Amino acid sequence: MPQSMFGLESYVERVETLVTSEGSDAAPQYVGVWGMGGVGKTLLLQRLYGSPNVKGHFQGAEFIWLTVGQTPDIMALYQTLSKKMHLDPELYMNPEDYKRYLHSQFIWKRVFLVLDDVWKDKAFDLLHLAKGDEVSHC
Amino acid sequence: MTTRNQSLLQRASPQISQEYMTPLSKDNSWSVFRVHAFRPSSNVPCESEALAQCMAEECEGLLLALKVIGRAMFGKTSPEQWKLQLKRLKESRMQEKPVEEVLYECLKLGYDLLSEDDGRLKDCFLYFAAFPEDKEIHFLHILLHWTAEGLVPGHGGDDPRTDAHSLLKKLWERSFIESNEEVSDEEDLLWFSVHDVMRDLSFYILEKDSGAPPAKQLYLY
Repeated sequence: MPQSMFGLESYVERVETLVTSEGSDAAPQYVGVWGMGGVGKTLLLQRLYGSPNVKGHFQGAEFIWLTVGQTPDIMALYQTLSKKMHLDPELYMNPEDYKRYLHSQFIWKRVFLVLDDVWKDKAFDLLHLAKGDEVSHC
Repeated sequence: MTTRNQSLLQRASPQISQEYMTPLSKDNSWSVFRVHAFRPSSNVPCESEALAQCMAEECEGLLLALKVIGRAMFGKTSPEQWKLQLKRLKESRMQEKPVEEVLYECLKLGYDLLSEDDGRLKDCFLYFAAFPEDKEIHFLHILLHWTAEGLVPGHGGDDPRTDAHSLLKKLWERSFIESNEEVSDEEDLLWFSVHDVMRDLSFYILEKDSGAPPAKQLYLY
């Protein structure tokens, strides 16, 4: 079945430009897409995630997709993140320790991280893992 | 990051670049709906066209609704069918509802139409509510649960494996679930997941049916 793209191309292009126009200070970049449920935000990011331009720009980076949702289980998300970064997911039982550990790991990595469907500020812990380091976020 | 709430983006980071997605225009809505509801090579039958356009408009420019309703209407040729479903869609939208519920009410028509194809499809879809939302679930895992629940017969008649595969394929074709690839015959390579809105829809339906909110974190994984 064909995947329709009507009206979506322009969004993909704009967001692609946003994420690939990295500043020289190597600070993490944040891009937020907002809109009503069902409008196509996830589809837009799926397109972006698979885009050759984005892949080219973030060559060597880890690509990580996390669906956060209304009732995020932060520990489960940390574990998923660890697995995708080839780290031992069972290393820490406490979220604070886990966060510190992941933060130290993020310093050495370039990461293209997608947080899909965020509802709660609590999910910002995932976003700020990369604070001040050379990481790009979307 | 994606969210429905703009204020959350500002709190996330002061340097965040924002992109707001508007619902599709009337023309684009029709183009999307048309692709999903009719065979690409054929013309839209003129006696259904106006009805189909009305139906596309009822989807309020929401891509997911256009896709799900479009696919639910795929293969319906008689104008009476279109009239009936348009009426149902409009009725479900009549009551004053919060914005998010408008989407669920719209999608619920697609859900209701699942049973026209196979009486088990509704339950099969609701079953996905039991899995965490970001999980990709392997074909065999689903097969195991469905067999245990008696959704696919474990003895005589059809092979449960073929049966489960065809049910999953139908849900996938109707955009109720997503898959890692085109749903081919290589069952062992298949993984499935549910779009967050479709997952919320399953909770919405479960809540309406039972009158009580289901426990969202009781996972089956």
